[in-house]
Amino acid sequence: MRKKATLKLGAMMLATTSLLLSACSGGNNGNNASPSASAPASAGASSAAASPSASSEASKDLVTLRVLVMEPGTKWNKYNESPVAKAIADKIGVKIEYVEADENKFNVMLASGDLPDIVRSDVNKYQKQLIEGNLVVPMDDLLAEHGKDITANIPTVVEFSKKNWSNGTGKLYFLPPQVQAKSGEFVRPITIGPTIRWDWYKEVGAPEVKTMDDLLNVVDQIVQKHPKTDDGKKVYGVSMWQDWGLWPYTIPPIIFTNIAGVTSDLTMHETGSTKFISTLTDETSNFWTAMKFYFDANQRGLLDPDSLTMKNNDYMAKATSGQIVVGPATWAMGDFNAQHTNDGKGFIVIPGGKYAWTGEIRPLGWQDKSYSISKSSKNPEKAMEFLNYIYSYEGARTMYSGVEGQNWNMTDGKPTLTEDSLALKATGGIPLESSGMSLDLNIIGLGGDVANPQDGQPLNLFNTEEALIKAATPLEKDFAEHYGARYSGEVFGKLIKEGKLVSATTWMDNMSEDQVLKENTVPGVTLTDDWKKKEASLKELATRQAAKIILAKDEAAYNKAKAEALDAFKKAGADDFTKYYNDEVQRLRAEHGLQ
Amino acid sequence: METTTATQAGNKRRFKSSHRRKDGYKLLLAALPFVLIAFAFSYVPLFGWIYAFFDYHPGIPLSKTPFSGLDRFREMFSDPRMGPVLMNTLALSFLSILTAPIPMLFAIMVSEVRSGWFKRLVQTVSTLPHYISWIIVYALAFSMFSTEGAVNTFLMKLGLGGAPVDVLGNYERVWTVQTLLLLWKSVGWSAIIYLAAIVSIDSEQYDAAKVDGAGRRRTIWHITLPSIMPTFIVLLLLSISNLLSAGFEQYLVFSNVMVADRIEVLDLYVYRLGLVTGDYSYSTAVGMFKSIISIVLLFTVNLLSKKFRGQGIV
Repeated sequence: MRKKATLKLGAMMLATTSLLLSACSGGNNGNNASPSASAPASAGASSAAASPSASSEASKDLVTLRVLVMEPGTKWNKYNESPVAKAIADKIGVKIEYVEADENKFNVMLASGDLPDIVRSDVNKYQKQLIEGNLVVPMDDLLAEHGKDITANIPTVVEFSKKNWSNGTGKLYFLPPQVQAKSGEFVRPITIGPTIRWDWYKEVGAPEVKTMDDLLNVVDQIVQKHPKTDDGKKVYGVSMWQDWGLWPYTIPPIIFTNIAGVTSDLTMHETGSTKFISTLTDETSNFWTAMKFYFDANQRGLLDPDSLTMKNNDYMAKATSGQIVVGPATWAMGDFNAQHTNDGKGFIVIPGGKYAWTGEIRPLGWQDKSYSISKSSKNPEKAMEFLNYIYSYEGARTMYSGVEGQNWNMTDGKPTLTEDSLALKATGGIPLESSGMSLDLNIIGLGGDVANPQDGQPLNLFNTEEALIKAATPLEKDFAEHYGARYSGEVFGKLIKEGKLVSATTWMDNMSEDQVLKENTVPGVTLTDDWKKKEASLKELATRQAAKIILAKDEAAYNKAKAEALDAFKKAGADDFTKYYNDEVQRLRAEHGLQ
Repeated sequence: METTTATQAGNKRRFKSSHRRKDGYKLLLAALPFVLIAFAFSYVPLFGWIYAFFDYHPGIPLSKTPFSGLDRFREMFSDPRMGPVLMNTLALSFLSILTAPIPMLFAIMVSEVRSGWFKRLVQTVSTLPHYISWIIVYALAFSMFSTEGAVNTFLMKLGLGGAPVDVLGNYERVWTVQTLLLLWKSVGWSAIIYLAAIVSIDSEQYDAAKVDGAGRRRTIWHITLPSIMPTFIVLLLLSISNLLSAGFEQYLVFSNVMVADRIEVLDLYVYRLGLVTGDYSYSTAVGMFKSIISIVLLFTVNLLSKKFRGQGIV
């Protein structure tokens, strides 16, 4: 009797102990296996065959490949039954599932060593950790067996990767997406630049905007005419958000200064130049241009008073309700355009300043999103097949333009989008997203303007002039007509041709193809740990100083705050940073055989 | 868990007299899971301190990581941010210690309420904010205090004040604002301990005082306050040992560029260094420093307590 009771008690305790312990270790495992809240179904099934409950016949032996992406807020998983996703499944038998991570989460995953099948990360930043930590596999053998299209279509990238992105091992580890050696012929709708309420801008006569001062004058005129939104909320001229670091100070002025950064925000250069200036201590920099702009805006009562406390989503809510007159990009205006598709109201990027954000060429693709295959993947062959698919003409065409026979047809040897597809593109929104066409550009290996050698047309059929005209939204059409063009990109295209604006490729206009390739394949500067630390603390310092400068009470206070900030930046080593960076640029160029 | 304790209690009654010793083992065994948990979550992670002595980067195993000795600690003493960060931490901690009597006074006032339903209502309403996470508190605060928030709209409607009051981005008042927010969130919860202490006061004392003609104020002054003073002192001393842990989530969510310089407390700094900048080793070193100071403070306070009150707190 006694024994039994003791036994019972012991058993019970054992049970509780093991329950508690397994509960916590279970929690840990759960975290590792399924780090993405958006992909709960994937827990534990890292790369096993899809669940037997999958409805369609074809998906019976689908392999689910989990792809780590470092961009929170992607839409891929939301539409993983789209026609495009099905086409991928039919062709190579894989289903792609995104695992989103920010830097924090990625670091935790790196430390645990358990990564999804495919990792898409910044090669310049993480190659050392990934390769030395033995977390990714060399792709050379896989490439030979499953990577025909990669070898054929992007040989330059493969060679470059082996040389510069292998941590000195000479093997192939990383492949960046969006490889495109030449820019497209036609300008697509521009998404970054002064994004203004078109109906209001037209109302005040659409004056030319040469400088940020001009822009502020326009905003002033508009706010005077429209102090309130339709539902009575106050209209602010300009606003910004604070959770993207220096972004609001370094990126929007690019249009007006033609100065942009490469691998660091702290030093930038005029496009085409090899001399970098300090963002913080050079008074012609974007940072100081922005400081003046926001300070003036505040002085004239045009700056949203919450600008310096808001986070991106608070800002987006204001943009959606139409309280902001001008913003930095079309995607920074919330859902306003989507909610006003029919009444012609909306935000559009207007030509202004010096620079048009178009015509990028990327012979090395988007390095900050480079693909690698993880050591922990159970299906490295399938992963390679998938990578081969996204770098193949057929695969990329499908991912951009949809399925042949469904979204586009071959007529007289020329691929043409169906009217339905064009209409879908013009309306946009959820119907377009659920078609899977161009759903996530980052996933596609080849750039949309790359021509398919079989038909001579761009892989993204929406980039042809015909499609650009037909798929324009009413807002874009109205905008284009105002400037005597047929589609919004043509407005910019003409200005670039006339020499009034420069694009990302203008400085390469007189170069031979070889020269262009050479110029664009110089390895980027990789900061050492110490410099990374210094960079981070300088950035932090800059955001804090910025608030004081922008909110200065008057001109005198502004100048005082400016002098103090310049002093603080110098003391914190901003100039040393620029010097180091310039030296590195020169060294890398010299090693690459350039002056 | 409850079933275990219930069974235990049953067993205890059955074998009370003759098996006291065995019972002791059983109780010890019953406590084992919790000891293990405490060990697993409070002591095993201390292993992580080793990273402070290496030049660690996630992904690269420790065996391949270069040893850096005490470099990080040296770095800490020459770090210009450490001064302001410690200042913020201490200031916010002192302010919260300064407000420590408020929950006690609140508890006394609640206990003096005669009407039962009203008492319960006040208690529930004041305890509720404790369960609201800081990010929600931030969202609430933003919708209340932003320049377009409820408070400013109300003031505008009344025609009071020209410019909207900026509460969340107010550099001068940030410590006050944060202390008030913390007080709002914690006053009801902290009062629970005092309420329990008040309930345990022998009611005969009150009756005796009443007979002697003491009014309400006098009974509070001479009976309630002295009776809950030990509780107050213990909590106060414990909070002193926590000086360097001013809190984390609150300041994380309420931080913005306007107030960042005065709101960055030690824990937030460790977070920013480690997770945002990716400097794990240095961040670990700073975290270690904090733990060590806290332990020293705790034992100092304990020593003082023993000396002056005759009893320790740990």
